[in-house]
Amino acid sequence: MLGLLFTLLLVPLVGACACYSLKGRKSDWIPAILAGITLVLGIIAVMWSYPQRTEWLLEQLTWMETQSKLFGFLIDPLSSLMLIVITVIGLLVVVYSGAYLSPGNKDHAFTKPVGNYYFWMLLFIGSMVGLVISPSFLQLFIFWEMTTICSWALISYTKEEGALFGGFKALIMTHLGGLCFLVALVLLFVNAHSFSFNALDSLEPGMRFTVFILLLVAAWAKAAQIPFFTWLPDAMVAPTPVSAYLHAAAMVKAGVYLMARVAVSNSMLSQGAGLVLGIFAVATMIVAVILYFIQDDLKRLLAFSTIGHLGYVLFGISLGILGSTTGFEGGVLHIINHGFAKGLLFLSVGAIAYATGSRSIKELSGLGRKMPLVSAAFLVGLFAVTGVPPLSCFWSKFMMFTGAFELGTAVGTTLGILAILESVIAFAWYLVIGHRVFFGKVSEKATVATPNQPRAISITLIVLMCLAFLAPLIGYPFVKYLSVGCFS
Amino acid sequence: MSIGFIVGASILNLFLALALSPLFEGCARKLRATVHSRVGPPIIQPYYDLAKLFGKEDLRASANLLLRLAPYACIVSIAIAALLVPMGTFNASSQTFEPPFNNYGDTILFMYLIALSAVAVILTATASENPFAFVGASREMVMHLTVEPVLVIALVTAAINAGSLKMGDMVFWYHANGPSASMILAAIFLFLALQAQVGKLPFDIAEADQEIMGGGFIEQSGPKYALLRWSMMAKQIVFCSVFTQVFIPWPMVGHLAWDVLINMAKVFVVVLVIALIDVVNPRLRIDQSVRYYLYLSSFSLIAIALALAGI
Amino acid sequence: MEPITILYVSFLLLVAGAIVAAATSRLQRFCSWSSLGFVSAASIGLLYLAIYVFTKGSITQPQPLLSLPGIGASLSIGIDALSALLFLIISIVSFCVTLFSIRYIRRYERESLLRFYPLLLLLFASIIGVVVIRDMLFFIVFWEMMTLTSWALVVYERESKISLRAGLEYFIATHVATGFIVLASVLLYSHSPGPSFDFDALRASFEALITSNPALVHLILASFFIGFVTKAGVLPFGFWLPNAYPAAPSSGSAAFAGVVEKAGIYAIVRVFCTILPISAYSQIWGVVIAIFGTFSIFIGTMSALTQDDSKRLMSFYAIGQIGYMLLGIGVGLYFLTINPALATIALVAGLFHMINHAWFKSCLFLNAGSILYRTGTRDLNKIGGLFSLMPWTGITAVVASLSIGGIPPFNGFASKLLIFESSIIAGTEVGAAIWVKALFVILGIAAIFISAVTLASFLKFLNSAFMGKLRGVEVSSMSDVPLSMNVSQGILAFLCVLFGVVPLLPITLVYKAISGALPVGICPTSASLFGKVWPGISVDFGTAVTSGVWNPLWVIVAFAIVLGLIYLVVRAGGAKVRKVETWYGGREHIPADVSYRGHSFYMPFKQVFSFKVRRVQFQGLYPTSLPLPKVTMPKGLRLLLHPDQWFYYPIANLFMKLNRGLSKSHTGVPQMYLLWIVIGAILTLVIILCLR
Repeated sequence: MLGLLFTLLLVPLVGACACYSLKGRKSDWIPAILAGITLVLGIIAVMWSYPQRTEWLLEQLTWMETQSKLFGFLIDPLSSLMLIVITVIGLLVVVYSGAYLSPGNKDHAFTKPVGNYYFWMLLFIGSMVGLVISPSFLQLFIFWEMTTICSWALISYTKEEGALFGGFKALIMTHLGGLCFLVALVLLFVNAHSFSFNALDSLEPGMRFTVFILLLVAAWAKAAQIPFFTWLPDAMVAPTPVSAYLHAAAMVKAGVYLMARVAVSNSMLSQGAGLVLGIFAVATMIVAVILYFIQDDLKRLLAFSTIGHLGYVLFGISLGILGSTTGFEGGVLHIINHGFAKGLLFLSVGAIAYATGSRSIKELSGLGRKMPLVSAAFLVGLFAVTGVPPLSCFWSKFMMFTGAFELGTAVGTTLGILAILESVIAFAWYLVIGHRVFFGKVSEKATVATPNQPRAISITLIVLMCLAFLAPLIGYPFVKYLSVGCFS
Repeated sequence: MSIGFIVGASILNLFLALALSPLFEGCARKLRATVHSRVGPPIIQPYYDLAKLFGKEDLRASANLLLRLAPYACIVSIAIAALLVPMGTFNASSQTFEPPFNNYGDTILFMYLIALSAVAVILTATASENPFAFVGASREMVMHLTVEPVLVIALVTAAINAGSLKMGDMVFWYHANGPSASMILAAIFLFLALQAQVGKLPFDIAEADQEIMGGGFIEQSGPKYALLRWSMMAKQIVFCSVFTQVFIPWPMVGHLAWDVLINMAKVFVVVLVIALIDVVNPRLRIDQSVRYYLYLSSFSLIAIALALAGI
Repeated sequence: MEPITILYVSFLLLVAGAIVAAATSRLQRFCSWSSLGFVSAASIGLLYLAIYVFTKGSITQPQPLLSLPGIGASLSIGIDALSALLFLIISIVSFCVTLFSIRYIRRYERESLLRFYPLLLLLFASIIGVVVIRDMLFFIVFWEMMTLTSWALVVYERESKISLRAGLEYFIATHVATGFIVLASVLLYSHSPGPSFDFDALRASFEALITSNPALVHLILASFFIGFVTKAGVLPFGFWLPNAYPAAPSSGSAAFAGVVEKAGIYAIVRVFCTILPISAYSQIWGVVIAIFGTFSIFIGTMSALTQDDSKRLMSFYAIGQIGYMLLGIGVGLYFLTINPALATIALVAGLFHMINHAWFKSCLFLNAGSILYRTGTRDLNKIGGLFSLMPWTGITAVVASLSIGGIPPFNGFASKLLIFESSIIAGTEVGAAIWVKALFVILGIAAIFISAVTLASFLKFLNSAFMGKLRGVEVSSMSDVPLSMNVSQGILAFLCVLFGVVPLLPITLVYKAISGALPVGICPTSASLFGKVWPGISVDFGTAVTSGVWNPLWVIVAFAIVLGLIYLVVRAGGAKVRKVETWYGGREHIPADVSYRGHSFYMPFKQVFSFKVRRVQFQGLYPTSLPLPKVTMPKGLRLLLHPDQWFYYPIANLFMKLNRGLSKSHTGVPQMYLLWIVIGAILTLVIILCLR
């Protein structure tokens, strides 16, 4: 098993180096094979370890005296869940990129060689895998910063002015969060001499709160919550598969994963901490939904939606800290539900951009007639994300609403009502957008759309549509073993 | 209720409503003539009219089936409505005036049968494909819609007081409990609505002879026209019976023949009053009539309020 | 085979049918007929289950299919008499609708069948789910599935702006309503023992809350009410209905009016009779429900008088008739504690009207569909005289119109009779508050009045469409509507007649449904309430004296006898028949001059009831178009929500300036660097000396 996890980590990292110099046709399917191998290994690891939690602590640094070993591997239901999201969507995105990064792309014609792209992409997959199987904060931090760099490189891939600026902005903002993470690590070491996840429990309350807030700021920066949310919409200049993967399914989820890990491993977090987390999460949701109304670019709209939904996950985690297990489970389940649904939405928008060259809501209309599969995919993603049963996000959202009201306190009830309100408003606006873009008379920009997408794109969309239904079934078996403080 | 009573009273009611109604109409016409300082036709003139019409040619302006069937529906519904209205038929077992179909239908059925006859008139009018008929039909419907609430409110007042929707029970209650404010008020309102229900001036707007050539009846001829005229006459008797039996049930002798005669006398008086009003009034316009009846409906709610208070 | 298995099989048949239809959507005939096959099989299963439950009692599941203990929900299913009643409606209406669609859907040449049949079958499947689930979470799941599939049917014509706007309004309104239902369920859940979403647990929760937190109970009931009533289409929450129902294909509209609306009524009865314990809350909400119901009756039907579009007309009727059901249910709920006999009769009346309405309203929508199929237009002003072309449609339209108008001996009369009697006799009840009695009597009178208005409006419909001279159809297509469409209309019209002539039969079924939904022992026996004089009903409101009667058999016999007599009299007259031309006053004219359009029919009414409030034009008490609210974001808020502008970029610029300032110190001149070294060395020496 240890060897399995080791291979799981190494395959994408080494494969990235191998892909760097690929040219020609090979550059399409070798990365896909590597991502596929990662997926298979990941699934095997998940199934083998379910439902126990296993840890292999291997090494420690000779010059740092800590109470437990630093480096190694950890696999438990929470990391299994994340592993599934990362590897599945990773494979799909790599396959999709094979078709997307071609000269036929009307949005931005990509010329070969694209080995560079796959290098960063596989490196990212590797870093995310490393992040979720880390057994301590230190190892997690190392991979955290690696993902920041991959994100910078991938956003700036096209080397245009806007892309370079977007990448730089993302780098600075997430790195500032990383600095807060570093300060938190230092504080942990100084006060608890340990980097393990349950180290917060052994701190005294004031210090615990401070470390928690620092980690929270890091998470906010990574997950684009208030007040650090401005980098994500600007990062949408990245090629769409990058947006789908990094900025919807994986990298931003690292931030909420950190918070979930903290909650799962520490049972003595204070109510104040939970309140701060919850209030900011709901505030993020509200701000995100208000900003929906002025967006014209489909990808920016989806970016704000991602911001809102990450708020949901943090809301669920805060409910867990405040005392409701159902809310916590809902929040963590939302990670996988939202990942698949938002991935589906981004990839369909990518297909639209590929075929018509436009992402503007004003310019597009009547696409349903021209691109039936893509519109079906978008509509399924729309309903999945806004929480229409029986699709995925309904279940996690409902669990969170239940959790909020289960608390019985005024705060819980208020936050719950705000969350329901946000859900309904978001649905209304999404539906209006869906109607505008896909129904109605075929607009100018839409007439140039070719009805046949490359097969890679169609297959990816169909797989994700199925996953939009199945996500809760996949996620719930893991989530039901989680609650606040269960691994402390 | 014995089978004998049911069959006997049904035959009696039908006889009164169908066979005797032209006689009452004839008396009304005689009164009219007298007021006009004319001699006027003999009292049995309506019988002569009907007999003549039954023999005249039946002109068909359209092949529509409803043109032929609706007049039957009109008169038969009035006839069945007559079976639901007590006309002096005293039932010894329940000691009250009971209509023969007291156990088969109640006030609501009565209201719907009246509606059915109005519907039949409208259907036959529109089936004839004549624009004058359409105008008449639309007026007939508007009249029906505005007058019906008053009828409904009056009968509902009686129902609330009696605690039952069966007409026999209403008569029984009123006779036993004496005059009450709500019932008197309801009686007044019903009387004011009577004029429009029987289609006499100033409310004969639907078949305004001079204005729209008879309205819905323009394409009717021969036996169909006879049936429609006959149903108008029968309607008069039925409504007047409702008024006299439910709202003025005294005196109740307890002997069938006497009670029927007393009822007929009361109905006769009411018919004459209606005829008198008909003679001295001009015709109202449809919008004036609508306004009049809407006001009346609103005021008649007072009767309900009084009934609920138990007065 | 266990009865519950038949339920699963029926459900799965519909899902399988949807998949088959989706796969074969290009082969039009095969797709249509296979869908009909699946629906018929499922309908037969449902009918069997309904009959089983009515004769042998309710069915429960030994084990829930799926259990989610983490959230206290489980897929628990139970079929009681109320569900069985809905099964009856679903099976027959779904069959007729699918049969009708076979030829009807060919009208839509540009649209793919892929978006019709699979969604129609999934709609039926989700409604089956709604009426059998005994757990609130899964109830909401199936409820939203119902909304999702019906939305897809409303926007079937993707390119029509009106359909799209209607679909948008529909889905958003019902999703907001679902939000309310979610809020109410979650609030109840948090106080329930377990906690659990099961209906029994929710009832226990209500019982606990009634004593501890009355205001919360009202909030929960209000949320449920708003949620369900929006779906049922009661004004003012059902504002989406007149736009959404006409937009769907006619068979879809018939399915909506026949089945989806009934799901709303079912939900109301389920929550207010089964889940809510009988208490003062039933009374208060009974009055509220009755008031909303009458509001709906009044506004819906008065507005219908002014409509010229056949399907929009039907939609307003749907709104009006739902009001009747709510009136009956409201009166019933109020009297549950005071006079159970009256309450049972009123509840039976409301549900009886529900089942009657399913028959005649679906038939009417199918009629409108036939007219649309043959003439291509819904505008009643453009068509006329269709009776000669489509006699069967005309006859079923007459039957359905007379039923909806409540003319005896059709089924509408029987249910309306009970509703009116309940509300009027409510005025004589001693135990009720005087203002409530007055209210119910007024509501009853308003309902009677509106019944006449309904009749009036349907006469307008019949006249415009079927009477008069043939108009609006091209000579080339002078043929009747296809047989499949006629048969489906005929089945529904036949049921209208059947339930009207033999009212005791459906009343007994509805009685079983109500007595099953209410706690045991509340309802007096059916025989004591409705009498045993078959096939008629003699209603007894608990006073041991019958207060109202209706016996169709004898009345029909009397009708026949008198008709015979009159006919003999006419024959005795011996009049000859002669065909003539219509007489127009002896003037020269063209037909267009003398035709009387539909919209002139009730001109006086329209003039009385049209007015303008600010910028919204009301015609016939209903706004003709609702202006969309314009939302603009205030500048301050926009600025606040873009922290880039006022925070990040200024700080970044500040850093850049600082950076540039500092970089000025790198001049590239070696002497400057030497100077820096010297200054640095001196400073270091000073510091070391000070620290000593």
